[in-house]
Amino acid sequence: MSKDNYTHFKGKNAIDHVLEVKAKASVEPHGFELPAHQFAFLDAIRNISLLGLILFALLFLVQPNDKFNTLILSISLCGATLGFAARSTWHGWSLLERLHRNLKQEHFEIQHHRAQEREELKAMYQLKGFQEPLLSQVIDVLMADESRLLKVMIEEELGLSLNSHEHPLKHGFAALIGGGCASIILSIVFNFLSPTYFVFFAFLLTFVSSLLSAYKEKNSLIPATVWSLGIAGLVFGLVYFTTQICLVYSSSDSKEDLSNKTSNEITYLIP
Amino acid sequence: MTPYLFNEFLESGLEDQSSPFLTQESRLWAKNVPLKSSIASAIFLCIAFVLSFFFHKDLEASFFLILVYFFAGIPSLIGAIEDIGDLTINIDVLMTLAAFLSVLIGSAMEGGLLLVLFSLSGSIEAAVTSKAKGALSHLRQLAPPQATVLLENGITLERSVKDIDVGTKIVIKAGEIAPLDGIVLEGTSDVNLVHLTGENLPVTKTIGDQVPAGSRNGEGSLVLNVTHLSTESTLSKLIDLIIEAQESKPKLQRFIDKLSQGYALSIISIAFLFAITTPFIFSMPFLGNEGSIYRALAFLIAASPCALIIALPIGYLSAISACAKKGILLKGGVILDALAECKIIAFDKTGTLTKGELILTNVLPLQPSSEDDIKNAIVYAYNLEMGSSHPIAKAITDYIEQQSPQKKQLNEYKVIAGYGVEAKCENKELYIGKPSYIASQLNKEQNFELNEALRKSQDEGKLIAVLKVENNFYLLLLQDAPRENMKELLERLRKKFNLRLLMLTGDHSASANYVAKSLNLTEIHSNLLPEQKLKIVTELANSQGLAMVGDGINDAPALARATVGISMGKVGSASAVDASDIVLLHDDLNLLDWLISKSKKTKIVILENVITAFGAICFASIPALLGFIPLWLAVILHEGGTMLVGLNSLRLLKVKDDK
Repeated sequence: MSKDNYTHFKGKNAIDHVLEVKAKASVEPHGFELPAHQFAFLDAIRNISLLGLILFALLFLVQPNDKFNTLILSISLCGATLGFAARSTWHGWSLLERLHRNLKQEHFEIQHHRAQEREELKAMYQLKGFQEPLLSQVIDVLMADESRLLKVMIEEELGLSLNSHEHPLKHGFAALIGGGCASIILSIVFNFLSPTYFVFFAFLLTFVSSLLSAYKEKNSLIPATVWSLGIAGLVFGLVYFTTQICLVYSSSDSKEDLSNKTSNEITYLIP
Repeated sequence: MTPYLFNEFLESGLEDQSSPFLTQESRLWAKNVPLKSSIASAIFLCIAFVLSFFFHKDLEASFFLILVYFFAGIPSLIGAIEDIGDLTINIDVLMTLAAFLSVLIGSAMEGGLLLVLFSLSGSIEAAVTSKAKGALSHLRQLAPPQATVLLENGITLERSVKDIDVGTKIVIKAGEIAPLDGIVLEGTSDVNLVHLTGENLPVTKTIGDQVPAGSRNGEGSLVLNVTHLSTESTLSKLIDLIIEAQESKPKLQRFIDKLSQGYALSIISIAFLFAITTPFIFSMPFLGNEGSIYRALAFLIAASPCALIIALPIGYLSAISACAKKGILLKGGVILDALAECKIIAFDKTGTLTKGELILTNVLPLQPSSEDDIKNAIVYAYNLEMGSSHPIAKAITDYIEQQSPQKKQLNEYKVIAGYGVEAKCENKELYIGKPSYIASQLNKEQNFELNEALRKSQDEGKLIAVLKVENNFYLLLLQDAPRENMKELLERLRKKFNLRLLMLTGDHSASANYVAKSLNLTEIHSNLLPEQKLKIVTELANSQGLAMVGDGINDAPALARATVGISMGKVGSASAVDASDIVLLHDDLNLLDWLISKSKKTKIVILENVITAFGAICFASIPALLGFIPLWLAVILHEGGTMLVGLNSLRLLKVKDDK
């Protein structure tokens, strides 16, 4: 293998390189290059952190000194973890069902409509720039083997990728682990440390998971983390202040008392 | 690059385990998911039971019950809704209804138990039933997907058989399988028609001869003029025959399944009627612990046949396990039911009743010869046949190798396609092969002796090859002998089970009659093409229940259509193994009587279980309906029956011969 080839193909041969690139460019349920189970793990952490912030904002404002807050928060986060994991699994299975249906349909067309499949292939390769007589030779070679033809149609006509998806249970399991870890960390922090630390840890988890996602996807780190933190901050802030506004306007206390109360609450958050 | 699993995936019914979209490692996650889910539900149920019964922590127990209802209940619910959508009320619907409605009367634990037992039963049965039965995956390998097309300018080109028209020239090289029917335009060769006749002996084809698709070409090269499209070829028709045979075979049903639909409908109807009507007849309230709805639901739960649901798969699993220890592969427990009902067993001849291999029985000189002359002749025969893969060559070399023959240098070695081989050795001209090639070199007396020997051999189902050493000629007599102890086996089958035994073969009648006579078989059908075999098997299977024992591709349609198809695992073709219901992994036909005994024993045990289960149900459910016993007692009686039938089923694990 020449030096240029070795560098370009990273030590692999051309065929293996193409297969690897195709697998990486596959359409995962969430549309990222990251392996699905890693994405599910990191996304679950972000989701649980976000949910934690929302719950914290609500609980802290509505029942600030309630001793059951930890329990409510922990149970809610665990329940949400289970929900996210189950949803992630089901989402994966829905995608798999769709992929399988497409393959079955394409197989049927190859078996029963060979002439039309030949025309489709011809059109596809004409668009790639092939012309006669090479075009017919290429079509003959592809049509000679049904498995090969099916593979070509799935990949080139339908744009699907083979041997590249992960089993839905793997997504779900990873989401369960990720969400579970985030739930445990936030519950411990909420129970043993001050509310400020909770908010800090929630943002920290969001930051770390976003950083890892961006790093693995080879995307820009700063925009990825800042946007994630920004989204978390946006949601937390909006929920926090919307709740406060609702409390103010729904309370029967005088406006002066209420403004004193809310300003004390705000002060409490900032050490 | 590994090929994609498209065929395996499509034949498996789009199972995740063979999905070409999943990575290799991910496919492992898909293995036995229903079974794992059932086991997880069972564990959660046990935890819930311990918490509730021993520690009186009902709330904590409910936590685990939710998980049970999720993992075991959701699949059952989907199945039940689909069945109701198909207007089918069966045991599945009954069990699911009872399980979910039990929550309404505070009996979620009992409902959870029903779901777990139901789920375990289904997943155990699915795990042991071979999916390969429906696959017929090796059928595709019978027919080559491509052919080598010979163009006018002499260039060859690979093309899909589906794109080749009648009149196209195709090349069949040595060792290849003919992908399409054709007439020979150029070349001479031996072709093996075992897929059509079952006989593993090549037939000579030359210019003008018809070569059917699926024939394996010998050592010559042939150019054929295609006469039929791929969809109309001999092989395609054989494949269609096999698929059609399998699809037209009535779906084997456990005998209990036939009762289950009626039972489920009756129980649901009784419960419903009781709930609606008794308050008007007996002034009973609708609601409350003494209400009609409570009692109707209690009856529904008590009448759910979970004893049968779990005991049947355990019974079949035990029998399958016992068979596996003996080297018999069953592709489902219900096959044992079907085998017990069979009144006829049909045997293929070559490879089933006989060993399927030619053996050299005698060497007869056509002129006065000493023992040394004969010994030397045998050594020449060995050296001539050493390099050949012909069945006759194998028989000769196997026989002679026992005598440690001397290796000799051969010169001018030549294969005469369709006839034999010739060479020179130690200045002698040698030939071995078909008598017709050297018939002209024999004198009148030798010709007469040869013809007599040929006539006699045909009557005895033997084959003759001729060996020429210079001007001396020797006849090599070859025969396919019956398997050992076959006669005794057939006698046992007749006496012990009163079975009707017959032979179905594609071979000619002389050979069939000879083998039948040596085995005391009186009912023989010979010269059968695959479709003729299928016709006989279909008629007999429909009328009396027929088990077919075979090994060849030509047996595959009959094996697929028979009530029970039994194939040989080692010598059998992959298509025959795919098409059959039972595979004898070590080709030991002497296990047939043990297998039939086992099938009858299984049926008896299952029947005992049915009676015990129904007895327990009546004993538990009717008093529960009438309010004589509380629900918890009804469930205990009910589950006691389950344990009894489960233990009874384990008797089938026994491997020792039943008397």
